Amino acid sequence: MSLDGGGAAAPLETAARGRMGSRRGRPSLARRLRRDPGAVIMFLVLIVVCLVMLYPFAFMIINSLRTETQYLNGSGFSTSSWSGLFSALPVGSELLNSTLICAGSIAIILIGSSAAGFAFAKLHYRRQNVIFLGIIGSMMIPVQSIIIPEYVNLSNLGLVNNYLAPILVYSALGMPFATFLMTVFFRGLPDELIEAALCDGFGYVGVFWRIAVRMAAPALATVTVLQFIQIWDDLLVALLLLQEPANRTITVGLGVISSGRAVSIPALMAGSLISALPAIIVYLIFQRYLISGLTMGVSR
Amino acid sequence: MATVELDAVSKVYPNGVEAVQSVSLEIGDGELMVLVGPSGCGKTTVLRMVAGLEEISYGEVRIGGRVVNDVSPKDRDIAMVFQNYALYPHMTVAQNIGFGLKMRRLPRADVDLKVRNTAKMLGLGQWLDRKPAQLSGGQRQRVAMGRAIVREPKVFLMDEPLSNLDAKLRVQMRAEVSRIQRRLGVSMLYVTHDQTEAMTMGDRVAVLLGGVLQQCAAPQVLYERPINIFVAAFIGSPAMNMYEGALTQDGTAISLGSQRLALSEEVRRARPALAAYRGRPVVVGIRPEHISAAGPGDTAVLRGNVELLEALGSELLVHFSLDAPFAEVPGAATSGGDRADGDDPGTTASTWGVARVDSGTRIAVGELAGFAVRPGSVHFFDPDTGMAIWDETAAAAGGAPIPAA
Repeated sequence: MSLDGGGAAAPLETAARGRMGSRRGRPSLARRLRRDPGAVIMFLVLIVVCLVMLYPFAFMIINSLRTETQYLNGSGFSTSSWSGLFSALPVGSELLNSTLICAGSIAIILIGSSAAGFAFAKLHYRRQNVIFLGIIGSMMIPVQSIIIPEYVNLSNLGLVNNYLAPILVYSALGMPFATFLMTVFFRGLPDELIEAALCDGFGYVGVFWRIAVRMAAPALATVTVLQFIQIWDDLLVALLLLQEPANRTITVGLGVISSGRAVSIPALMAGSLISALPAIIVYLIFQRYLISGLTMGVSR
Repeated sequence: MATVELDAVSKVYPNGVEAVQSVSLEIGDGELMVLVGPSGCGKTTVLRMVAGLEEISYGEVRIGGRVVNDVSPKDRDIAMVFQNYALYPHMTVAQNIGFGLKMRRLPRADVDLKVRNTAKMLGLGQWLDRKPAQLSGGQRQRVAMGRAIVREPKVFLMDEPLSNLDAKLRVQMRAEVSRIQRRLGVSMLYVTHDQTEAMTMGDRVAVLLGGVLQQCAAPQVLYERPINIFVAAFIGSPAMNMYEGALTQDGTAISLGSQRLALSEEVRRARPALAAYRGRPVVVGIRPEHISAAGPGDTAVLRGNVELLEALGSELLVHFSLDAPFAEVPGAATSGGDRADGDDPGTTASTWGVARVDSGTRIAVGELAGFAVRPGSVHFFDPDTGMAIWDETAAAAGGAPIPAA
C-alpha cells in the first residue's frame, strides 16, 4: 500500500519540477536566452545601457585617483587629488549644508504632499479636480522662469544667505510632483480601510496619521529618493540664494572649483564622487520601495 | 445593546439619483435583521447611513432612541465589518483587534485581556502575532469579526462579510456569525445579496429593490407569503416559476397556455381576493419544490417535455418546457433565478419550468412527463401591480410599489 502511494507521488513531483524549470522555480538565464531570441536582443540592449550608465562612475573613480599628469598620460594612480580637494574646499561643511537643506526640504515636501494627496484622494469637496489640476499644472513651470521673482521675494524677506530660502524654494518646486505621486498612492487605498478607522474611533486627521501615512511607506520612499537626488544635485537655486562661502552646498562648491582659472580634473572628479555618493546611498537604501512606488496604480 | 430605527430614510445623490427611497425599519434589541436584494438595490447605502458613513438626505436614524443623523461614526457606538475585511495591513492580528480599544484609551492590560478573550472565542489565539497578509480568507474574516466584537458595541453592521469566501467556508462562517450574534445578544444589521444567507441567518429579512423596501418579515413568512412578484421570485432557490395565466370564468381553474390547473375549494377559500380575477389574467407562481413527478391520484398536473436534468445528490432538478408564457419579474436578471433567459415575456413560445424532485424519480431527458403541482402552495399575483393576491387585508396593506426593472 505504501509502495503504491510512493509510486503515485513520484511522477507528480517530477512533473512539478519540470513545470517549474530549475530548482529555484525559475529557468536559468542561459536557458531563457536559448528559448527566446528576443530576450538576447533585450539582454544586449540592457548591457549597453548599463555601460552607458556606469562609465561616468568608472571614469570618476579612476581619474580621482590620479594626479593631473597621470590623468593626461592615462596611467598611474595617486591619492594626491583627494588631499588637494580637501585643502581647496571645505567639503565637510558643504556636505553638511547640502544635507541640512535636503532634509529640511524633503521634510516639508513629505508632510505637505502626503496631506494634500490624502485630501485629494479621500476627501470630497467642491472644485477638488480644479485645484488638483492647478497643482499638477504647476509642474510645467520651469524653475528658470520663476527664480528671479523668487529671489526678489526672498531678498525682501531678508532670507538670502539663509538656509530657509533654498529650503522653501525646493519645497515649492518639489511639492506638485510629490502631491501627484501621493494622490495616486492614496487613491489605491481601499475606502473601507478609512471607513473602518472612522468607525474605530478616529477622525480624518487620525486616519491620516495613524493609518494612511503608515501604509504609504513605498510612496514616501519614492518621493524621498526622487526629491533627494533633484535637490542634492541642484546648482542654480543654491548658487543664487546662498552666496556666502560658509553657506555653500557641495554642488556650489564644486561649481566654484570648476570655474577657477586652473581646473584640476582629478580633484573635480574626487569632488563629484563625494557629491554623488549620498544620492547613491539614498537610492540603494530605498530602491526596493522605488519600483513599487513608481508603478503605483499601474495595474489597478 | 440597542434598537435601531430608520424612519422614512432616503438618500438622494447630488446628481439626482435616489438610491434609497423612504425606507422605514425597526431592528429590535438583539435582533439580527438582514437586508437583502439584488446589486444596486440600496442595501449597502442603508447600512452606511446607519454607520454614519453616508449622509442621510431625508428621514431619521435612531440608535437606542437617540437621533444620530449628525453624529460621527465613532460616536454612534457601532462596529462594522466590511466585505473586504478592511484590516490594517501594517498591524498584527492582536493590534487589529485591539485598535478600537486603544483608541478609547483603555488600560493596556484591559486591552490585552479583551483581545485574548475575543481571539480565543474566534479560534484566533495562535495567530495573534501574524499580519493579515499571512492569514487565509476565513481567518481574516474572523479577525474583522473580532475587531467588531471586542468593542462591545450597541450595534453590529455587516456589509456582505462572507461574500469573499469560498462556498464551503461561507456556510461554516454564516453559522458562526449567527452563533456569535446570539451569544452576545447584540442587534445586528446584516447586508447580503445571497438570499440563502438571508434566509438562514436573519430573525427578520428586509427585501429591497431599486431603493424601495419591498417586504420585511421573518424568513418563513417571506417564503410562504411574499408580498409581491419580486419578493416571490427573489426568495427561494431555484427561483419560483412564474407564468402568465388566466383564471377561468367560474374561478375553479387556471389556464396556463394550453393546460388547465384545477383549483380546489380549499385553495380558493384561502385566497378570497382571487374571486375578483375571474376571467382575467393573473401571474401564477409555483416553487420548484412544490412540483413533483405526477402519480395516478394527482389532479393538478402540468405536462411538459423534460429538457435537462441536474442531479444534486439528494434531489434532482428537472427543467421542463411548457407552452405557458412566462411572466416578467422586475430585477429577475440579478435575482439568480432559473428563468427562461432570452424569451420575451408574454409570448406563447415554449417556456421553461424547474421542478425539484426526489433523486429516485425515474425520468429522462426528452420524455413528456407529468408534473404534479401542490395547489395549496401556488401563488397568484396581479399582472399589473405585481402584488400578491391573497385576501382583502393583504391587498389593502399594499406594500411598496415595484420599481421598473
